[in-house]
Amino acid sequence: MCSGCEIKEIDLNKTTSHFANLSTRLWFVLLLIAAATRLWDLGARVMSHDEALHVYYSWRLYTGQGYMHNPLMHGPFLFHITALVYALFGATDATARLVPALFGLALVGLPWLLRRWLGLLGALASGFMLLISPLMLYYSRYARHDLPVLVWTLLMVIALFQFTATRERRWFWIGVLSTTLALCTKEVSFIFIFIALTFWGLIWGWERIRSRRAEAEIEPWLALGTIDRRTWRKALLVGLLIFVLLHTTFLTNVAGLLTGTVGAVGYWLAQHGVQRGNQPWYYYAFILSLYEFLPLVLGGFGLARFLTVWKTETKERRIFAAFLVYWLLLSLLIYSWAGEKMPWLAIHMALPLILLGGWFLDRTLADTDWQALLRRGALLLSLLLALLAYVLIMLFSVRPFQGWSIWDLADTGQWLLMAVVGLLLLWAAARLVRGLGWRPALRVGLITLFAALSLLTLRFAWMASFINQDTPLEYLVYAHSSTDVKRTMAQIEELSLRQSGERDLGVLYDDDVRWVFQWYLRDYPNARLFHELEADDLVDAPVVILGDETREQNLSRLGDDYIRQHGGRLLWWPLETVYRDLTPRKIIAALRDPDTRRKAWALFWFRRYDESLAEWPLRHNYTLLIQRDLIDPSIR
Amino acid sequence: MQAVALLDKQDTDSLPWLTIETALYGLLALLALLSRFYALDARPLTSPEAAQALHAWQSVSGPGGDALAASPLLFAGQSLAFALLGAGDAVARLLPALAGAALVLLPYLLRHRLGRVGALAASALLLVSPTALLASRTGSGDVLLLAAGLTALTGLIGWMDFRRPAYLYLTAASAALALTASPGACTLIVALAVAIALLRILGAEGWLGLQAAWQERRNLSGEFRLALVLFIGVLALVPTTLLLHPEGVQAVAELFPAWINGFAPWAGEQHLSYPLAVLILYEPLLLLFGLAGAIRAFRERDLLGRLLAVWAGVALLIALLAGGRGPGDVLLIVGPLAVLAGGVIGRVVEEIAEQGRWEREGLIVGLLLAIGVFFYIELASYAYRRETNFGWLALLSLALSIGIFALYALWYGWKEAWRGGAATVLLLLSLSTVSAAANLAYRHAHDPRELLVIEGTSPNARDLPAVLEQASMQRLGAVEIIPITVDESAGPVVRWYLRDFKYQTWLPAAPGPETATEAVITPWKPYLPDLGAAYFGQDFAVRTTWQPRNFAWADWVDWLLFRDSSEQPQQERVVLWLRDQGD
Repeated sequence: MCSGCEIKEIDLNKTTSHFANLSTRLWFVLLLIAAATRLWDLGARVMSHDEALHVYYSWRLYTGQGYMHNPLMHGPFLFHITALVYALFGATDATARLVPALFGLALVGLPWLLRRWLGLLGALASGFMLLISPLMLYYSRYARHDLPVLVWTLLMVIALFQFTATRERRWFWIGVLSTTLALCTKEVSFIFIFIALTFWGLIWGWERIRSRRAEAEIEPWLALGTIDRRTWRKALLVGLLIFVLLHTTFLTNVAGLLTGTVGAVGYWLAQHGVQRGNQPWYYYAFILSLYEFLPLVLGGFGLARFLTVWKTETKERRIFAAFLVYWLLLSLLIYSWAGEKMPWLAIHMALPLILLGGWFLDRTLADTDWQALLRRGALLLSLLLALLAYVLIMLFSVRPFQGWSIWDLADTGQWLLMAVVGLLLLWAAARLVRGLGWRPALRVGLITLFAALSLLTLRFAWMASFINQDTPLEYLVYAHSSTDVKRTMAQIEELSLRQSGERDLGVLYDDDVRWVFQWYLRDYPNARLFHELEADDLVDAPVVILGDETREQNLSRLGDDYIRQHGGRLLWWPLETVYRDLTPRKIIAALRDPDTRRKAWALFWFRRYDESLAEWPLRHNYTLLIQRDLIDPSIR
Repeated sequence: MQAVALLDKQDTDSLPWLTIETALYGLLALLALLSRFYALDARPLTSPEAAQALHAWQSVSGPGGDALAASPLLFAGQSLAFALLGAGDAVARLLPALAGAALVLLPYLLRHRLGRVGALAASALLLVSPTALLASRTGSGDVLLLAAGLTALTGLIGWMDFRRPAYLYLTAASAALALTASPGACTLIVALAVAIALLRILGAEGWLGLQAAWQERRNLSGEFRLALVLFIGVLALVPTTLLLHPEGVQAVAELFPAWINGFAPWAGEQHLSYPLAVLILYEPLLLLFGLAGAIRAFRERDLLGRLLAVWAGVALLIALLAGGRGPGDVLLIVGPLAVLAGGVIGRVVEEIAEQGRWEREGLIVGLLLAIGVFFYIELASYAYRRETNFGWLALLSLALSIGIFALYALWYGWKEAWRGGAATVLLLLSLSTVSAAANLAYRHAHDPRELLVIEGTSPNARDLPAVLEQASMQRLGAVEIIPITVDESAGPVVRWYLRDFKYQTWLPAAPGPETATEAVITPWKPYLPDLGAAYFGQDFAVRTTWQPRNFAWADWVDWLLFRDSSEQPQQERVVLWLRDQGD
């Protein structure tokens, strides 16, 4: 090497790998898959009603039309950050959903910071369950506030426990920032803060009673006590500054201070009485059973396990597990009690459920000697158990001894064969269990259950996010537009480009179809919204879009100048008759009825209903009309 | 083994190369490939791209083609790509996209000079540079020249520093490729000559280093001989497409006259300020930190920095002098600036990481960022509402940020203020660069309102072959067999998109009454052409240009922020005439 060259003194052959252990590599893989599933083809799905509001008002902020905080659309954080994304990458369906997608990606990685309390295995399992969760995946690709606020919530939890354990100042600041940003994102953060405060209040009370002292020592409070007044003042100032800046749109809307505080709380308390969505109290139980059965099962086990082993846990992990249990139960209680119930709110219950499931897996499986178990036939047992489950399902789905027809006899034969195979499998499994011992066998059973439910979850996550993503066959697709809207927009674009080479066609649309067309027509400077159709409105308006509500009265005013093109589905909702007015008696009766069982299975497995999408009952339509002389005769 | 022990077991023997640094380069490589190849055919080919691609397509599809294209290197690449994958818009841009992606990783070889963070920063800058990104997605030789030129320089530095022959071979091969890439290669030769002369005059470390390397290795004539063979081999084989097109040598020889012709004042339509305007508008980050890097290189006698600074300076000077200046000339300035800027940014980042404190520098960064957002909101409101008070508020916020910076400096000290200010500027300019790159490459790549586009092709141009195919199918029962007569002034874009139609007649003048083919294509005129039968027509926008006039302040702001304007681009249109079947 030449002398005098200004070569940096770095060891270019330094080869210390930062990916030297299996768990780091697995986390890396999880995050890679999370990035792919969250970011892939984000713009394919058409906007839903609520998304259209969020992304349109963000676009207004980006284009200099301002933004005024309105509690109806929750906190200002999403609007500001989405406007920033527009400024960086332009406004499209995909970029409009980039923020929740990135938060969804972060959410998968965050349990890594909880390894101390969840354990290596528990944190990894939690990350995996967050990755494949149908609810998390779907709403990570959905322009709503829920994913960002969920990340802030988890960061609050992490910051609190990390700060308590390590006393490192950065966790204090992360806690301050995440709490502030949660308050600027969505009002559900009040619910979580209430849950967290009451939990520590209860712990304080419990410790006081237990130690029979006037002053009980609560770890987080002790930790927070180490923060000096100056830092507290700084934290308050920083929090206040962020809150004020975001709610006033960087001091351009001072009224935001009022709407962001009194207005937000008042509005959402009033909504409790409105009962928007009008769902039954067990709505979330239905949604979670349909999509989040994996964490539901594991979380259920976790709850039972916590009640039996909590005394044997270290204090640190015990309090954390107790917090998860309390968080889960209170979330279920509060959200089920609240008047407004929507499918996206289910993620606020799914998160503690997943973390509790992760904790349970770690508590149960972490000390398992897998290599020894594998040598003793664990893999075979796992296979036998999976086959046994399949045989059991077949035994319940086939009805034997129904008659003497060729079909009935075939069913009976199949059932008998399955029964024999099942008995043989049971016998083989029992032998293996005896060899392994009950506890190890239960662990093998648990891991088999986890794998099987994971595969099923993956299937439903894929169906919801990539196949049925904009049809109400999924209960997550609520007040959503149909692909008809994109077809209509493609037709308008083609007409406009053919007319002038630009997107400047005059499009008139009524208030009834405002959402979602206001978003899709944002780049058409000559698009106009009307409330009452006047004759003057029709000047330079070769295209008119009318909603169901106002169609008949407006059609007469349009006369013969316009040709009616296709009608489309502007908004649609999932069928609610399936789960409404359920009582224990109705459930038992339904389980006994083979026809109802068949329909329930078709709904669960295939998302198949008696009603076709073409005749979907819960929908709101629109009609597209094009001026007669604009429709080009085809080339002869 | 227990599950936890299994997860936590250190296994340093496997994947020792996978460090945070290599993982970051992996991420940069992935982003480079995605950003270069994503929707590569989203915008139609422009006239120069179409003219270049037509040479390669004609040479592949049958006799009559020649290699006398604007970029002999790209001609060879396109010929190979068309032969293997078939002709298409994305395939025509394949080689530039590959070169553009490789360019991003080049600073890895300069880590010993730039530092780990500096090299990573240089890579990131080349990734997000709007000029480099658009050039990587354009079927021209510009990015090939930059990639080859920068590789040659990297090889030279590597050879001097490590004395490994592989670096010399890399220099030889890439220098030969650079000479076949574009007329801009002459700019690089001039820059190299100036740099060597300057180093000689200054008697600097770099010159001594070059001399030392030469003295030490000159006895190894085999090494040099092999490098020379490599150089001549590449120079002979690549432009002739492995000797299949001997006229490729002529194409290389014609690069020099083409470069000289570029100096004619009438050679282009761009104003003298064009290169500077592009740099300020699209590459403020590179410009600011690159200039700082150039100053540092001369102060600290850094050989690589000096070579890059001379390269950037000469390229700028030539771009200012030559009348035929365009985006390719700016790209030659951007490349070295990116490496220079990377080194400086690396230092700034390391200093902030070592000495910066959240409660100290974080305060000024937070305040300046908040004012920055307010500034944007007011400026955007001014552009939208056209009310001057918004403009004044934006200016006021700028003044406020300067005042706050000064107060902060007086309170906390200038060092802290500069660190905070540098971090803020770095952050804001990075965001602005990413925004400019993404909007330029994916949203407005065909829009002539972007300075780097100059002339665009309307997406409407692709409807022309689609309509012709439909007509051919309806009238003759098969696509692409309809006889077409085309006026040659319709241009290379029309020729490119009609390439698959079997029966085409191109006329040097407007078709007259003797023309009676099923389809006729003419440039748009305000009157009907005199053809030999009854026709009806549909017009299609092809070439688009933009010359703003009568811009008010708000119009400028609107254009600066959104590339929007009340004055729409001018369209050159062609008309497709289909013979009336009289049914």
